[in-house]
Amino acid sequence: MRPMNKIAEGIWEIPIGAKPGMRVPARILSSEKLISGIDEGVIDQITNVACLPGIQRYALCMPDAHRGYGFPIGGVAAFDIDEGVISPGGIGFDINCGMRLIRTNLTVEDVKPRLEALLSELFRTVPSGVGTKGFVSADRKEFRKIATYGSKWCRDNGYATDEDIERTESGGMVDGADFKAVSEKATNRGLDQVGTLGSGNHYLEIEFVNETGLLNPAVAEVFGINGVGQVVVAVHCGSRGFGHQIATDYLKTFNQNLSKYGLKIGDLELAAAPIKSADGQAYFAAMACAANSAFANRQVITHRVREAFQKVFGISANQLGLSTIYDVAHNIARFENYSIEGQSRKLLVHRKGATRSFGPHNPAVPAVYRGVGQPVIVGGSMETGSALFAGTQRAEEDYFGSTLHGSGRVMSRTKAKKQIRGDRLRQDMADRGIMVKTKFLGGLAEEAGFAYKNIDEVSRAVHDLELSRLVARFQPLASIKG
Amino acid sequence: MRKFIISDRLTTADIGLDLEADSLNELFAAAAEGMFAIIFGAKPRGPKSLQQEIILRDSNPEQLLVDWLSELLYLFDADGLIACGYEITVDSGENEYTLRGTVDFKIYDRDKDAAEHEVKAVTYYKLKIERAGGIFRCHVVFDL
Repeated sequence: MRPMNKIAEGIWEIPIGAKPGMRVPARILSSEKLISGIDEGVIDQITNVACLPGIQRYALCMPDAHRGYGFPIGGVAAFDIDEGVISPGGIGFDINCGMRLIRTNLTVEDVKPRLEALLSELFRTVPSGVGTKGFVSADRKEFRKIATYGSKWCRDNGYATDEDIERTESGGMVDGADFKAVSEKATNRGLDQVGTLGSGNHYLEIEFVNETGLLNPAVAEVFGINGVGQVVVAVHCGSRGFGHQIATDYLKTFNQNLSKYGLKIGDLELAAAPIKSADGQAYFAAMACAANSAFANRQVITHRVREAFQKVFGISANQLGLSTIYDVAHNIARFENYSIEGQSRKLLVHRKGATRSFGPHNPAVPAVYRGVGQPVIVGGSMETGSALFAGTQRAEEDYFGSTLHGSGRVMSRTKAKKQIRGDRLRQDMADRGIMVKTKFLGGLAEEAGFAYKNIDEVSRAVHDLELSRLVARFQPLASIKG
Repeated sequence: MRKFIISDRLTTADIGLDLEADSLNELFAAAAEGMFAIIFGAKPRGPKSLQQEIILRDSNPEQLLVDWLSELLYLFDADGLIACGYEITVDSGENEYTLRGTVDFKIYDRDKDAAEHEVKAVTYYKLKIERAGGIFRCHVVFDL
């Protein structure tokens, strides 16, 4: 393990010099309990990030960090736009994998009698699993519009309301998307997948505010969470094969062109190009297309969620109070302004397995939430449910406006499968009142709660560090796993 | 001789393959078989539906391996084709490695072919093809 100095409560620093080539220190944001279990791979990867040209202040690790490729999952780094680089390994293969949280007026007592029907309807109408085709019929011309306009395409085609757009990070459309930067292969992979959940750790869950879950009632009220027992729907998915192919394409290009830019990067997964180079600009334009397609994906799934609730409850989505609380990206790079040595500078912030956490008064936060900060939606395991936080000014000042994204995986898939069978886990969960539908029971075992860090421990660390403020915790009622 | 073992020794959230073969040709075939074993849990059954010629070139064998697996993954994800037979050769030339040959495919049937994992991409994570005692070895990690 490389030397780590505890520099404040919850903050550990690996100094410049711990690894040759480090330009800034690496900082691990954690707790005494979490830091003791941190993987050496995380340390190795975040110190590699600290070596990248143009990096500002420090390379950051969120409390839910675990080993990834290039950046660790939970890695955040900001780069000067003149001297800095952009790296697909700082965003991930699943570009704009993210989460949406939808509120309802329903209580757990309202939903329980119709839960099986509701889950079956959602399982039928929201395609999940490997190789499924989406329900949005788009030819190449239309797909190009989806990738360019994201959620705004959804609004123009009857899948979104103005309120949905307002309550999506970046209005569901990242500027700078240019479909010319997208390969034919990426288009072919993405064309039929708009409106699919995917597989692995992607899910659609019906959850509710449990008895101890209303942690900041005043802020919760602003977010549309009004009391214990209230039902919400969480959607976790991304840009599907479209984004995976874009990352694959540009990782190869960047690796081939490293010498052209005079870059020496030891880890091929951390391949990078100068932000202002032709390659860097092209990747950003393609990455923005993937991000937009992911916003659109979660939006059209939201449309299907509304339809399913309407069908099962026999009243309109409006009457059921089905409205988007917020939609956040967990894997993305964005141009944002931060104060560096007293001067406001435009930086390219990479967030890989991390969420934007803008505080009160930030103009990028929807007007309705500007008094309390941006909603931050965090996924736990399917056994523990999600958490809702509010962004903070502290995160903007000290952590490039970033916070955690989930609870963080600690156990491998094969090890998890050795601990429990999928059918046994499904029964155990049913006994605890959690209904599950999945295409692959083995995959269910891989996603068991014990394979993840304790979300409450991670949440406490985040709250104590003021990366974001804990607002509400949700308990799962039913889950669709891809 | 070729073999693969599904292993997560280098990853927490994803999955990898330990590969061993007595030639690069066999190593590349083992990698493809292993990738589809990760996706389907077993060797895909059923008759082949079509055969396709594939030629790929790159400057080093590791990049060629990523290209090869990424190509098969693309054909599966975009066209629903499951690779199930390989007649391939991998040759090295001056500053270039070439894979050429034919691949048999069957058509993915979502009702019959129960897929277990969605492979998002092939990674370069600690990817290094090594040769010792006439045996080629490699570990390749897939993003799930």
